[in-house]
Amino acid sequence: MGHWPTPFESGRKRWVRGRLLKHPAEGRQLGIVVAYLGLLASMEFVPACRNVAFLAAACLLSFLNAVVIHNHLHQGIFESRRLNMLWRAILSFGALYPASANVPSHNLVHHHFDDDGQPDWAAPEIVNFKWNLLNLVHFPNVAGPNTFAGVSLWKNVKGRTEFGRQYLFENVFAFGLTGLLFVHDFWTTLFFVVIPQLYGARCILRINLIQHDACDVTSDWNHSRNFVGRAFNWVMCNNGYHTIHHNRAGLHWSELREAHERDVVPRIDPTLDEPSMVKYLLRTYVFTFARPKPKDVGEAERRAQPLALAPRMLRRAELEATST
Amino acid sequence: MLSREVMGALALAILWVNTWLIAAATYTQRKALAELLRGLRVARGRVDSGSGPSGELATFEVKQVGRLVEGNAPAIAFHDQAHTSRIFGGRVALHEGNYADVPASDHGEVWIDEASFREAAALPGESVFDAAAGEAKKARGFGHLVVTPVRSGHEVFLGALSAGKPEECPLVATLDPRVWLRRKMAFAWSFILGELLVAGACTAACLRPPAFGASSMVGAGASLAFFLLVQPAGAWVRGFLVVPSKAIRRGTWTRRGAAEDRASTRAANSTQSERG
Repeated sequence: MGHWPTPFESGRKRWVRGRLLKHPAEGRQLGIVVAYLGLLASMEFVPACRNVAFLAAACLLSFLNAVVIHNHLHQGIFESRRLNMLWRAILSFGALYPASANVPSHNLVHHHFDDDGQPDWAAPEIVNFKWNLLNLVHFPNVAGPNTFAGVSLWKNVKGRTEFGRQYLFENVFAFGLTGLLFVHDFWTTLFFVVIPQLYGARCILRINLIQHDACDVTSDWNHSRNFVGRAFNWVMCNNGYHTIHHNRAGLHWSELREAHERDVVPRIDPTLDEPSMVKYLLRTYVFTFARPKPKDVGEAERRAQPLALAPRMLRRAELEATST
Repeated sequence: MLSREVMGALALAILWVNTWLIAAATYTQRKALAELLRGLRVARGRVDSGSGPSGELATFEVKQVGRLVEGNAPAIAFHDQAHTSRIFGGRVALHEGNYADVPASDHGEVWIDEASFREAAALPGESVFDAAAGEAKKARGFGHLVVTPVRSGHEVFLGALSAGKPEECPLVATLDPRVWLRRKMAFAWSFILGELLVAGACTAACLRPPAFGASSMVGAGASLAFFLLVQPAGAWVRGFLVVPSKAIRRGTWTRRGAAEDRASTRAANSTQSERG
């Protein structure tokens, strides 16, 4: 018996057929950003909305906005290149940093844990307090400036003028729009727009520490910590499946769970598949004072059947050739 | 509803937690430098002979990759890939009057002053630039090894670093390591104090009556700017306090001849067009 699409499905398919979105699942990402911007606007313009619930929701959605930046910078969500570039600017406003910074910092450097021989700009080792909670809180203070300094050097290389123009456009849009809001209402913008913006931007940097600390970044399958809760990954657009995302950066986020179960689970140390991020954060940063020591997480990988994986340098070269 | 007072207190709390964290990270680095200084013994002299391939006592090598960058004149910007200290061993005539035999070591550190490194890394000639530019245009870049030698006739400081290491680590330096460490430690203190003072001044401006008035607004704007700028400042200080054997050096080669050629061509063209 044939399947009759619901009105919503048919609308969604029409968007895809009409070549607006590349993938039907992108509706979730659009929804996150629209909800986030809606929350910011409501707090900016409606005094009754300036409450704990709205602020907390805006902070959470700001983090998810940064997750959308991550996904969008791997695979633009729209078919139209112009729309993708415009979307980057909108996302940049949400995080108060230029989304295109992700191209060199995340896609090229972080994915290969290497900056031409120097460590990743967001390597866990950049923080070294004895009290581990301080490492988590302080991490963006080092990873952020490292990232922007690295991006500035990267974009000055010949042949990256187009990237430089887009980067400037996103900066002007993000800071310009925030500046206009400051003119409209200084205190409300500072408290209810800028705080969520910075919260999201700083939390996405912290994810680098959470996902890689005490892992073995030299290994092929044990370089990352995964958070595999179903509900968590629905909200996070599957960003909990981090190992497979590193190894197959071209895979659409909606396909990560299946690939994780097929390729990663047989090769990963079970302790790197965490069922809950909240429990992991509490256990590692609240209930434990000292930073956990790295363990030999490569044992599982050595036991499992080898699986062909292109060398990191080759994967980076492929990404670099297609990045703007 | 969240009042301005509550949100103001939250914003100031965020500002201060961050300020203290950056100060604490700088203090931790300063403490490590102080430990290095505490365990450091130094003798000064002039290199008499070295056992290196070209008579070097030691070398400091920086493996770099260069890439062509945008700019008026053609330029190659270098990015450090790896730092290697090599102590080949040799003899140093100490200023105290006697000689010191320096044994070869594969775990020693060589601290080179910035001027000597710049001299070793400088563009040797425009023909070298032209040869390098072809490689520097490609994605993999132009591979380049900067070798700074410490050889016969050079003033050196010999020492041993013991802090935080399982065994004593020999040190050969072209700068006085004690002076270098003291300066960096003093700088770290200045940064910490300066950072706390600026944060304090911003906070005082925020709290100046009338609450949430004009001066308070200026203070809040300054606090936000401070929050955003103190992070790169802290990261810069973090790099500034790294010991010379591990510090990022970078550098640029600029082909000045080409810019001058273009300028003279432009001048000649404009003179011609004026005449025309």
